[in-house]
Amino acid sequence: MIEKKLEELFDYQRFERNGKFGKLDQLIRETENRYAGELSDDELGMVNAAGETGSYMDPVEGTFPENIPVDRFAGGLDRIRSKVFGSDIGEITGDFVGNFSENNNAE
Amino acid sequence: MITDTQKETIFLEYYNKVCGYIYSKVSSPQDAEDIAGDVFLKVFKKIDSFDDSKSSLSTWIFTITRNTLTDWFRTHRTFAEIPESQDDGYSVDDAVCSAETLESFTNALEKLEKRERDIIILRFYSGKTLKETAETMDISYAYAKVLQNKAFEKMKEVLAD
Repeated sequence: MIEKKLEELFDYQRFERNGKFGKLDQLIRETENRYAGELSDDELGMVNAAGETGSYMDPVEGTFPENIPVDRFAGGLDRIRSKVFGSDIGEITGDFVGNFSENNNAE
Repeated sequence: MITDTQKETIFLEYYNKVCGYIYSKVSSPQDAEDIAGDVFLKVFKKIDSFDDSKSSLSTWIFTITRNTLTDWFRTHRTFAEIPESQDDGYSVDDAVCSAETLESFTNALEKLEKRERDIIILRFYSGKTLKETAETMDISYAYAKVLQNKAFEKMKEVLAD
């Protein structure tokens, strides 16, 4: 069924979006920016008075933002890495954080 | 047997993708981190049984991510709160969820007229009904349906079974 296939493709895109499929992400953002309007009540619930969200989610589209602050993301990486590999974090984290913004900004 | 260095490489390579996907579905950063951690624990538990002749590593990890998220929703949310996209019985179709298909899909989407592309994205990425999409685009329901069918026709090569 075409509808199901489209949903699967877009769902998979949410997983691959930070990779080499920047073009698809760009097309999606163009469309959503074209019709960006007022936030619904549900979306407003995720935004505080300063316009900041309490999560990593974009308040309008509910997706992982591209320009997430590196220091917030790095904290998550360390915690997840600690859970997966134990307390021996090592030196790689710093290199990865340093490369993160470059990779995330690349198309 | 996979080495710790190889595990580290996989973790760093897929961390962005796993977290990005989970964060798009779950509003709490703490929950998202817990789920992401569970995903990688499962990945490394099963990695020795991964068969690259059946699917790519990316699709395999996506499957684990999706299923872990579904299990989490089942445990932590009432049935009414579970997103439609995380329903039971979902199995990732390797033919659909591949880099090649995604690239073909992107090319096909790009070739659509702007409004046809908008319909597809608003309907199947943003999750709007056809009625909601028509209202968003300020067009009639009937015209939205026409645009959708035109888009389907143009994309049928990519979307065909």
